[in-house]
Amino acid sequence: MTAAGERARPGPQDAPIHARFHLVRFAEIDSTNTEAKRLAAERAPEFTVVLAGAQRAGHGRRGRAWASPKGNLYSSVILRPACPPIVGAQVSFLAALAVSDTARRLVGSSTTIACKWPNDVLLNGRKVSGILLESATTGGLLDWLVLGVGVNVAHHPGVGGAYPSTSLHDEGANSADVEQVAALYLDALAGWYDRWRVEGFAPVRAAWLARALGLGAPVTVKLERETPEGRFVDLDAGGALVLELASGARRAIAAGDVFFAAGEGHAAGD
Amino acid sequence: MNQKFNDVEALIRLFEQSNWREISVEAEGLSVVLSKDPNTPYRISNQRGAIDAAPRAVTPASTAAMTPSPAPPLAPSEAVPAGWVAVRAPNLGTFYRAPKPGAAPYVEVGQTITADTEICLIEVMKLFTPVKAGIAGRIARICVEDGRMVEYDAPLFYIEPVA
Repeated sequence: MTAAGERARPGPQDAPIHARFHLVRFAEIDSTNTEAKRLAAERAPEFTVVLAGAQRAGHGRRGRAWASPKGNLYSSVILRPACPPIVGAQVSFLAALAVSDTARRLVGSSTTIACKWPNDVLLNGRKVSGILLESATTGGLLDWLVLGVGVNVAHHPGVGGAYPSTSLHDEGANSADVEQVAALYLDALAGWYDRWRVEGFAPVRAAWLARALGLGAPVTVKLERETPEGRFVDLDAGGALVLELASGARRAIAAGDVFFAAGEGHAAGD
Repeated sequence: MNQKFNDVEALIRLFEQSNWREISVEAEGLSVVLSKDPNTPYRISNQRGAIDAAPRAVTPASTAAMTPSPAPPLAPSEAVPAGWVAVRAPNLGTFYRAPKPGAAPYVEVGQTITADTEICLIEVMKLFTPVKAGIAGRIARICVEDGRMVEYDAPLFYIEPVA
């Protein structure tokens, strides 16, 4: 832990955070994921959580910048499921469900909450969170997995990318604050993580599919070197997006960005 | 049936976490074949035929089996000199030679590396896992182009160990 780090001493004004988590708080940091990876490599225990008020160099997939002003949630949780990376990648879906559960507690019932493969969460078709998982392995099994989750509580960067962004405040949860969102998110994450460890991916898959964006709709997948198109027909039992091509053949997509046609920004349920 | 399905799921999870390449189990009229060889289809059947609820694609192998266009190796017919050691993909995913677009590659051919040198990145479902060389030596060959999908166990690099 750096000199800037401080173990949390929740005051009476703080919402209770699930007792299993070991909190490491920063007013500001370069990136919570970078710090969590450093702590994980130093053998910090499972459920260590780095929380920061703001990030100077927040980033998402492939180094994309993640706007990180004060007023939003920036969190990175160290997990240690001793499984192969392709199984550990299912934590993407646990995180999306936990963020989705959190939003459900805070926004009005008229707000549509949808999960976009593999781990984006959209409120009324607008992106409210970003999730990035990084890991290290030994002998084919995960040593640690860092689950970075940013949730737009008070601010969002506006239009940009394939989906516009939003914040919890903009979706009607005007009084939500970062501590409350952290507590709700970590509580939901703990629940889904326990369920996944005990029951496997099946209940996670079922819950995610019930909230899936664009199930049955045309979808384009942007891979590094090709952009296959088809219909999003299923999530396979390991978490890959199942794309049905025009030929009727099915292809499992385990990496890449998915884009739905305009007007398909609806959830299957929720 | 539901209990059997749960048993099969548990079996698959155990298999995924094992170093086994293939297992075959027959019990109480149920037959299960699991393999990490992408050319071996999963078979789960009972006395009435295939189980409808059988997971179609639970593991890297079955996911790979549904993906028709895996990356061709850069030089499939090129012989591998004796003594070179392959670094293989720990799982199916997208192979990246650099930490992010525009950044310098982790390694180049001819570069000397230690066992702990990170030599590439594999992404699956937004989980990024760096791959270490695992052996000290010199990068002798890079087998996959940046951004290609790789199968579980596909050779990514060959390393010429230091004498």
